[in-house]
Amino acid sequence: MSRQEILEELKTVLAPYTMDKQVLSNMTDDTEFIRDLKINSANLIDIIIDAEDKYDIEIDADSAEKIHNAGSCIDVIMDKMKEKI
Amino acid sequence: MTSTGNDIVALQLINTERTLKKSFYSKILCSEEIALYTQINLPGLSFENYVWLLWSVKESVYKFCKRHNPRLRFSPTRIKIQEVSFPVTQQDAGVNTTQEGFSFLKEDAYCCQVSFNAKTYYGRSFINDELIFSVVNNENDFQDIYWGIQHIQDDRYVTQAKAVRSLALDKLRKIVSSNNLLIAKTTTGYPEVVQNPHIKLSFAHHGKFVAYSLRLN
Repeated sequence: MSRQEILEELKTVLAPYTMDKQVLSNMTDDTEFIRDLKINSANLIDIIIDAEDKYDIEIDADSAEKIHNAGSCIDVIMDKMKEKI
Repeated sequence: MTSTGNDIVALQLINTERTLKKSFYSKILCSEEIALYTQINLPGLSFENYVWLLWSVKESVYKFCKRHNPRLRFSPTRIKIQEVSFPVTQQDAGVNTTQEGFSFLKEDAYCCQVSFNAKTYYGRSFINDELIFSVVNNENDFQDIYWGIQHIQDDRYVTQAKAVRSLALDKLRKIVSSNNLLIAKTTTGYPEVVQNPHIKLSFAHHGKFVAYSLRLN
């Protein structure tokens, strides 16, 4: 699965947690979850759980700590998917 | 290190079923904190509210520290709650408009002692039917801390941001002898009073609730 494919799927994962649909539809690797998408910090765990369910992976605390924008989230998802192989 | 950190959780927005799943709460609580819930037997505090109480204290500690360390990332299980005590006095049933306070008395609050990066922090929180609100300090003394909570009609980010600034400015005008007070964000994204940067502010919002804490030196 390519970065671009995960980026597109990530938009669906993030959609319930942001009201800023315009920023979401134009999301790039550099889009920050809190600063740009205005996602409340209380939803960050929801996003990690949703990503775990979608890709059948487990995101540990060390990896979760790295997630702050779309790019870092995709990096973690790709790393965890590789670990499964 | 002078600072303040606060957080608010609108309980109506919490997914209780999800909160009670181990896969969820174990990303917020470490094993010692999970055990602490059964050891201390906090009267009337459900496990889901315990999870979000600890979340709000940890988020407040993170905000307190990030002001001084902009590269810090939030990792809830690394911030360890070591003690929790419950309030002696009865809490209000709800917050319909605005509630403000000063010095956060121990007997009115859930009190937490927190360890993070070899330092100790102290949290004072209250919980009612609608929200959990926490303020954190690096001293077990909240005498120079003011706080406020407001229920707003609109949960859009722009409205939340405007409302919390307005609420904090109203308070500052009453306690600081300076005209034309302005609040601006520092380069690291933390609010402070332009005319007096020694006054540290922390803002929080969730759903239709906004909150501030501020510390006077």
